Amino acid sequence: MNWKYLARRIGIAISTIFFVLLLTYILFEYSPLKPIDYLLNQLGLVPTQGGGLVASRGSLLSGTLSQQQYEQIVAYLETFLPHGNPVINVLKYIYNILRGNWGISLIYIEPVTLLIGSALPWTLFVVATANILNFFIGVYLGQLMAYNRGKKLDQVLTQFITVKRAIPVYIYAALFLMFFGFYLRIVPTSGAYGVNVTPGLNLPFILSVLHHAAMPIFTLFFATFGGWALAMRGNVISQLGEDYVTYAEARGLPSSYIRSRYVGRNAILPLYTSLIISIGFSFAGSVFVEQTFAYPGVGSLYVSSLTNSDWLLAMGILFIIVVAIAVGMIVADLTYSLIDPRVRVG
Amino acid sequence: MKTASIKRNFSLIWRSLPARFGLLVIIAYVVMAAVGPVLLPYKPVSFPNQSEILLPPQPWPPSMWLGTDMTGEGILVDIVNGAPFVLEVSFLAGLFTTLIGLAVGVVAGYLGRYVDAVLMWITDTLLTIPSLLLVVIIATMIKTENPLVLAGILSITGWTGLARAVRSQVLAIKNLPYIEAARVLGLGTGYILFREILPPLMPYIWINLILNVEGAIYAAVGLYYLGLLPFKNYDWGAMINFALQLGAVYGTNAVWYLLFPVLFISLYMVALMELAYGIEEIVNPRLRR
Repeated sequence: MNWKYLARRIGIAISTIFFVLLLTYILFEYSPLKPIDYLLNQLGLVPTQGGGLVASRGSLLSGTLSQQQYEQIVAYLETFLPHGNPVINVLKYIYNILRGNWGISLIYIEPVTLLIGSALPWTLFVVATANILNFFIGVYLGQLMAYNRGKKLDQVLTQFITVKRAIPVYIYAALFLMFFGFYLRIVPTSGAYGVNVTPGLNLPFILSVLHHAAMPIFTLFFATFGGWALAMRGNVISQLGEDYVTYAEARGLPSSYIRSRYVGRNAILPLYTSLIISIGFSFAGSVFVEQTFAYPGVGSLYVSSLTNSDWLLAMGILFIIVVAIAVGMIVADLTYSLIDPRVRVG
Repeated sequence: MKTASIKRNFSLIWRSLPARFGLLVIIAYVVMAAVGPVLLPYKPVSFPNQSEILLPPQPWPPSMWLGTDMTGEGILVDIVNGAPFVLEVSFLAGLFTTLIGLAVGVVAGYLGRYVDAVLMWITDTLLTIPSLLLVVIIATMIKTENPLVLAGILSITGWTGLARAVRSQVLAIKNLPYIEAARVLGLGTGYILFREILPPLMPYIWINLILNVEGAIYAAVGLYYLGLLPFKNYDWGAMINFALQLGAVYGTNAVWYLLFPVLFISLYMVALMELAYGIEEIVNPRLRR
């Protein structure tokens, strides 16, 4: 085990987490968008072009507020926020985050940790399923392409994947929602389960969950599909040139045995680390998918917190995802030596 | 000499089918962004006429070729007016990203020691952060409509890959005998960098620039798709977002309003990808057929 390398990885993980905390806190402190606008909006006051406020229909308050009055209200409400030395504030914020106090969401009036905790399982379900499906199908296709390299099948698949990967995930999400959700009406267009089922371990609930998750999972799967196939194709081709393959063939081993036991194993190894990392990174794609299909995961929570200037919630979500990726990378490095004996020795 | 090499490169690109396709499409988009808004100016409609919204494509007038949007304005008008912003932001962000990556890679590789260690630490830190989530939160909190600022935000994390590649290339080249010879001859650091070390990297840098432009569109259109930036009716991402909301209400009528922005974004991104692929095919002999 290379301890120096591991120490560096852990150091980078820590610096990443602190960088994100610091950056989001600075943005939070100096953002021109004020969470107060959301509160005033709830009272029925809508900001106008000039900077003042107008009472919307059905508002509790009547009349309009001038720019001056608006600034007075903002100044008054600002006194509730902690002020003083920003360096001390950011340290306090980091200290509280580490203690588990992530603040209270402005729009849901609930602790940020609680909100994230209830949304995270849905996202993990979608992201993990899509990635694992993708990995196995990609590995299979990659082998197929490598053994048929230069032939029609390989060329068509490579060209298809190149074009498909150029198009962003939200385009697929929009198209699938429009056609499968609004036109064909074969998939639900929002939510994680139907309204007439009771959550728990019963068949209707599980079926409803699967039905609602089918489209988000398929979209994420389709959008990220192909990367593994291309990587596997390259690895298999480079392994085929190795001497041990020639030797195995000379020994008269059946070619299917060589493919699965010799070439396949060696070609999959380098993909292992990137599998863990890519699961972390597909949270970003999940934001678009969840938002489009109104799926109640972390991604749509992130978007709704950003639209309503609910900064503490947004910062909490970014923080948890960054921590997950940083920890995942360390775990990937640590466990890689378990599956590849060469690393343990070398 | 200079024009001859440009001509030679161009004819190489022209010979590759994917690269030719990509180049032609991108030129068409630049022309569209340049002359489109002049030919088809955007006139906001304050009170949309119910009989004019979400019409299917019609042969005449030209603004109706792709049908109409939810305010009764032609979809083609929306698309050509939204094009300059998408092109500006994506080209600027691609340029910034490439320049930062190049600068960091060259400095880290050439100076080495502590500078290298610090720069690579920063690179690895940024590589661990999911860039899209970071870009989304920064762009929303800063809330900008300025293409220059938005491009700057989009290029915060994208440069890491190029920086690593350039650094390792510089490290590999800088102790080769011909660089030593250049040093002995008393040539300046700048000359050695730009005349001796960087030229072999140029094709790779070009490919990286194109891929960075592609990545910037993904994030820039995505921000409008999520409705996180103050948008106008003709922003491409916002159009898809509107179309989905209308699709839930009107059903089939909204299909053109969804399909055309989707088509224009996808074609642009596929063209960039094919151009990059074509250039790679030209410079990488193993891919040449």
